[in-house]
Amino acid sequence: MPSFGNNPALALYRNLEVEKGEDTDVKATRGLLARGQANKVRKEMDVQQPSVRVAKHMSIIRRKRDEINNGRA
Amino acid sequence: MAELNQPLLDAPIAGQHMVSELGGRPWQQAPQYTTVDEAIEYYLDRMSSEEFTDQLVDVLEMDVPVTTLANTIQMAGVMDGKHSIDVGMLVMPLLMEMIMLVGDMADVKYDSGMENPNKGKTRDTMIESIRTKLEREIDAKEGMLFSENTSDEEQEEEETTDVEIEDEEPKGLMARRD
Repeated sequence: MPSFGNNPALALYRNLEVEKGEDTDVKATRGLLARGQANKVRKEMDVQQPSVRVAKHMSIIRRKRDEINNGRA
Repeated sequence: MAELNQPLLDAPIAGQHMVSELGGRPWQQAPQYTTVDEAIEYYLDRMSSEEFTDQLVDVLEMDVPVTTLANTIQMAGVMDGKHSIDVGMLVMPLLMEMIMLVGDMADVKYDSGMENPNKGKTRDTMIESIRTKLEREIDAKEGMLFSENTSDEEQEEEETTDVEIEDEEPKGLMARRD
């Protein structure tokens, strides 16, 4: 991967797995006493990782950007 | 132009960075925002202000790459003691995305800084390798020509010596004659 000068921004941007930040469907629980799925989903998505949280924010902004760009095209 | 040649009298003196007391600078203190979430919130708040967006659009129109802008913004955050370098590195991709969003919203043709600036240009290394190859080829051809010439000359020399030996006749008075 080319690194232009000392700026790490490009490498960081390319290495961040934005796909990890994509939203996953959470199935609604039916019973009143059924265990909530939030913890399970949180574990699966590895939200404790800061990079995953950043990727999640990024995916939201990217979606917004795509909407703007697709709206123009 | 004359102003450019003036000596910079307000430049820092060599070693000036070592004279300030330890902890006297913002980046030597504990950062204000310790987590990525806090830093993101800080930047999103700052970047959504109208004043910031107007300035950002102006800078983007000046063809300053997004990567450079993001790096500068996070570095300024570190210098102000807002967050650590580690948090800055984690936040940088988000800053890039935000900057590009602002650019897209303002319909500005910005330079993302992700394209190789040397793309399409002839590489110096390629020119050098071709030059070396050509030099080798020329040397090889010259070597072949030289060896051909020398072999021809040697053959001619051998032939002439043979002839000379054959034609040689004894000349002395006491020499034997067949």
